[in-house]
Formats: sequence, structure tokens, C-alpha cells
Amino acid sequence: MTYQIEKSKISGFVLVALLLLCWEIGCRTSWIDSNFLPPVSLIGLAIIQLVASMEIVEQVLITLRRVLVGYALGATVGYVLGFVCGYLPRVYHLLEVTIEWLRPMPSVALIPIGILFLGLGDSLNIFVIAWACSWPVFVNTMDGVRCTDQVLLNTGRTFGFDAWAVVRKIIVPSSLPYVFSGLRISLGIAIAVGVITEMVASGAGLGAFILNTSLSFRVPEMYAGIFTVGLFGYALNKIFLFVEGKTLRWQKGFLAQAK
Amino acid sequence: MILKKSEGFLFFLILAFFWEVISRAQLISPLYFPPVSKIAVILYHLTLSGALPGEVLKSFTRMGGGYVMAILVMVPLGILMGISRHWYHFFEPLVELLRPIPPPAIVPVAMLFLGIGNMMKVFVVFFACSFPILINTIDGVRSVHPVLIDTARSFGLGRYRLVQKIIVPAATPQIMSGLRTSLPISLIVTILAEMIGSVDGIGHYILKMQRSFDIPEMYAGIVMLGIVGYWLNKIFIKLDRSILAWHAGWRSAGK
Repeated sequence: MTYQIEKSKISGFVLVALLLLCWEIGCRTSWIDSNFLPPVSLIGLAIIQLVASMEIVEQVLITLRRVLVGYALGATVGYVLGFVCGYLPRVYHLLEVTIEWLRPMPSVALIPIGILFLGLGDSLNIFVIAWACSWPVFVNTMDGVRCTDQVLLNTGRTFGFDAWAVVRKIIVPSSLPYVFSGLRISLGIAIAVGVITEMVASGAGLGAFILNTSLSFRVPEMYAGIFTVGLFGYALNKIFLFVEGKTLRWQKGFLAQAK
Repeated sequence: MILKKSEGFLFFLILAFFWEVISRAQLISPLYFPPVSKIAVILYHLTLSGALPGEVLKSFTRMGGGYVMAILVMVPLGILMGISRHWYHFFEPLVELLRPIPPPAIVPVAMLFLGIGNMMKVFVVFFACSFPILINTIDGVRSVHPVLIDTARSFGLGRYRLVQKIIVPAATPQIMSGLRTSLPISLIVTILAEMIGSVDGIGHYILKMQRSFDIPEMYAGIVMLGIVGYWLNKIFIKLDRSILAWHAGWRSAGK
């Protein structure tokens, strides 16, 4: 059985390797137009050169800074707003119409407004990322706060917790898993929206790099840029999962105990 | 409840009123920040003249094309990968390789191969929607309760019937949640593709108005987009409820 699983696992990597090989051969024998799809080896070479000349490292750092600042800002606003709306239903009812109208607004549509008020710099990127990131965190935090176990709340009150202690010791920790699932969704959004904003309105960053290399027909560099963005997203996601695992470790034990 | 709802509307109106006052008092340059009334009038005219609905319709055709294509390809693939370990391992590395790429990064590649026509947008939407749908379908198929499968087997259901009668229905809630996730993504990606490489569509319209400093028109386009996004979500929820009506009944019966 284990042998079989091992074998079938290999098949996937064989598929990828075969596709890469076909790609390379297809380009070399000019079955594929290498103006549009240069051979893998050339792209690999472009990556090495771009890293060696620090050209792409600079762009990564620019994008990273924008994504992190925008993410932190959006997550904070979303968390606070979500917490207040979850804890005080009256506030939510007051804001509901406004929020439900703003929430489905595609973040891309805000870029033109952002350009008017903030110009083309970092602040535009950060603003759009923060806007897009805040919604999933908001919705999940609100749900998490609302779903706090009534038994826990009553127990806390029985033991004489005041409102502040109930919030701090019961509602905040018990809503944390929800918050994290919102944070995870937002991270992917932050990266995508960061790239989008850089493409539409910015001279720098990975998104701009990909678009510029594409428009100036530096095709291998463009693919190198796309590869880098993929790696970038992958790495951030891995880091996030690591942090989440550390933070929510108590919850796993808690769930296991409950079983 | 009705009172609370009207309170929300009141709050919304107060915000709009503040906007109007700030703009009329020229606290912020009215060039960037035209009064709401002006935006509303322009929105009304653009809607009546068919200019905005036309652009929206174009965008929607592209979005719908990519979205439907992603469903048609990824749901069957997800079912296959969920049922069979072999197929799962066969496709998994490829999926894991492509999945972390943010969809907007695909736009320039699509532009190289497909130009700036409809196909480019359809492809980009397809790519962007594929992974949420695929992952959710796989998860849904895998989390079908084993008792259901064993029961079906002991009643002598064949492999094909098992998939058709048990696995697909049981995985539907999760598949629908994948479809729900990819709906706003498809809208965003369509607009982005239209902003970067297009000659029409609502995304192109908004950016064009901003660049030519027709600011009220720009806001009208954005408001229109907000309304459309809102209704899209509403319609989806309706559809979701009617498809999963049995599921809600089933769950409440189980309680």
C-alpha cells in the first residue's frame, strides 16, 4: 500500500517534469513560438540574472512593504470594526446598509478614486490593499464574536467577571479561530490586490515589473517576474500558517479534550 | 426589525448628505469630490441612455464565460481528484505549482497569447476562479460521510451510481461555497483585465473617465459597479438556497 502511494505520488512530479520537458523541446524545435513562450532554461537564466543584478529583489522589497503595511492596516480596521459590530448589535444595524453596499464593491474600482486623492505612490497601494483586506477580517471577526459560546459567557459572569474581563478573557480568545480564517483569506487578497494596483497605477513593484517587461517584450523577464510573484505568495502563506499554528495551538488541545 | 433597518438607511442618507455639504462647501476640491446629487443625476442619465448598462453587459459576458468554463472544467476534475488517490497525486504538484500565482499576474501572459480581446478576459477569469472551485470540490468529495458511502455500497450501488447519487449531492454544499468564493474574484479580475488591456467594458470605462477627468462619470461607473456587485451576490444566495433547499431541511431534521 505504502509502495503504491509512493508510486502514485511520483506520477504527479513526472507529469510536471514531462510538461517542462515538452515546453523546452517545443521551444527548441520551434513548435512553440518562443517569442511568447521562451524555453524554461532561458527563464531560469533570466531569474538568476535578475536576482544577481538585484533588479527583482528591489521590486520584491517594494511590494513586500506595501503588502505588509496595507495588510496590517486593513486587518486592524477590520478587526476593530468587526468586534464592535459583533459585540454591539445596535451599531451593526446602524452601519448595516452602508457596509452591505460598500462591501461587494470590487476593490479595483477604487483605484481610480485613489489615484485622484493619493496620486501614484505607496499610499495608493497601501490604501487599496487595506480596503480589500479589511472585509474578510471584518466579517469573520463579527461572526466569531457573535458565535461565542453562551455557556462560557454565563460561566464567566457567574464567576463575577465584569464586562471588560468577559471581553478580554472569553470573547477575544474564543473568536480567535474565526479571526485567523479571515486573516488568511485577506493575505491572499492583499497579495493579489497589491499586484493589481501596481499594474494599474504604479511605476514600481512586482506588478509593475511584470506589466512593463511584458509591454517591452522582455518575455523571459516577464515569466521570471510571474514565477517570483508565485513564490512570494507561497512564502507569505507558509509563514502565515506557521504563525497561525503557534497562536492557535491551545485550541487544538482544547478541541481534543472536548472529544 | 423594520425600525432598525430604516435606522440604517437613515445613517446612509446622513453620510450622503455630509458628502453633499462637504462638496458644496468646497472643503475638498469639488473637481475630485463632486456632490452626490450630481453623481446621481449623471448615473440616471447614463443608465437611461444605455451607456453604462452596455458596458456592464460586455463585462458580464466575459466574466460569465470564464466563470462557467471554470465550473465545467474544475468541478469534474475536483470530483475525480477527490475520489481517486491516483489522480489526486497525478495533478497535485501541477496544481500546487500554479495555485500561488496571484491571478492578476496572469494578465500579461494572457495578453501576449490572446491579445486584448474577449478571449483574454475569459481565460484570466477562468484561471482565477479555477482554484477555489477545484479545492472546494476536492474537499467536499473527501468529506462525504463514510457511513453514506458504506450504506450505498451495501445496497449494491455501482461506482458510477455512487458518484451520481451519493458523492455529488453530498459534496454540493462545499462546491457551492467554492463557487461563492470565486464569484467576487471573477468580477474583480474582469475589471482589472479591462483596465489593463481593453477598449470597452465597465473597468475600462471607469479608468477612461478618470484619465479624462470626467470625475462624476467615473463615480457613476463605480456606483453602478457597487449596485451590480450587490445584486450579483443576492442572486447567488437565492440560487444557492434553492439548490441546497434539501440540505437545510436535512440538517434541521438531523438536529
